[in-house]
Amino acid sequence: MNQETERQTPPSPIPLAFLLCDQVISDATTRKKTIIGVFDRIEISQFPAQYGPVSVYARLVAGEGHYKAIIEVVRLVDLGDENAGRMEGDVEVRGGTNMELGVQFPFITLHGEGRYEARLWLNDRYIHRFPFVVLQRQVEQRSQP
Amino acid sequence: MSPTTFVPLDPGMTSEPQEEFYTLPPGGTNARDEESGSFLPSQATVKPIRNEVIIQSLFDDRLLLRKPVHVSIEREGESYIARCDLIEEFGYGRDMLEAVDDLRLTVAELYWTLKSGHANLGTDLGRIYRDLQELIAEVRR
Repeated sequence: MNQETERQTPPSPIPLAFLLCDQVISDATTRKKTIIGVFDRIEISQFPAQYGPVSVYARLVAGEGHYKAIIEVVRLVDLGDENAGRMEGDVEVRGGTNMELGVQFPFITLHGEGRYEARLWLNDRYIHRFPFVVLQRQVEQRSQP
Repeated sequence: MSPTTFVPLDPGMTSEPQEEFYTLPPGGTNARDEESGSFLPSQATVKPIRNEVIIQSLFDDRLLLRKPVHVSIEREGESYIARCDLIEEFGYGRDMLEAVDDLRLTVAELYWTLKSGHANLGTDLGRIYRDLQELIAEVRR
């Protein structure tokens, strides 16, 4: 991105909240949001696994203009970032309004145990992240009667 | 610390927050693997760590960055270093964005620290404070 393009790009909003949860409910009348089931760890018995649905909620302030939003979920591995899910879309923010962003992944793909992150990018700028952990659930071995 | 400006609601205005809720399309516009076309990759795809991240916000809702800041990412052993040459500050972390977040916190804390003692800063710290003032704006709400 050259300097002229950077100057024309709208300012990045300031993140106030960025969460991973089971569900985000929006009241049709009051427009209030209810966040259900915030979590920061997932236990899986076998990998690879598709886990979902998973929702991401973000609340930001001081934004205005057109944004290309990307929310990605990655596993942090030694060589880089292992893709677990990705959504992108265009968002138009009116001046003077706060911004809430909601995304529901039907599922995310978990290839193994480890540290994961949900990340928010707006116009290719890093905004915020939500780290979480995926663990392999130990299955109890039942003794024979 | 900059005082928050509270704007009282005019009579007739509702107390509903002025907010917009944006939902990216269900199913995802880009939830498909680019190569295979399948809904999500059946095999893990690993992207290498970026060597640069662009930020324009700090971990402090009282402060705004006036322009995008390019942060370079380096690896040192098991740790990552996020470096901002503009103000000669660093952040450290176990992963790329943890280092960037550490840098953002450091820059915000540095700004408030230097601001609180700006009358007594020496030459070097005074220069750093001036550089930060060019880079950072305080949010008035």
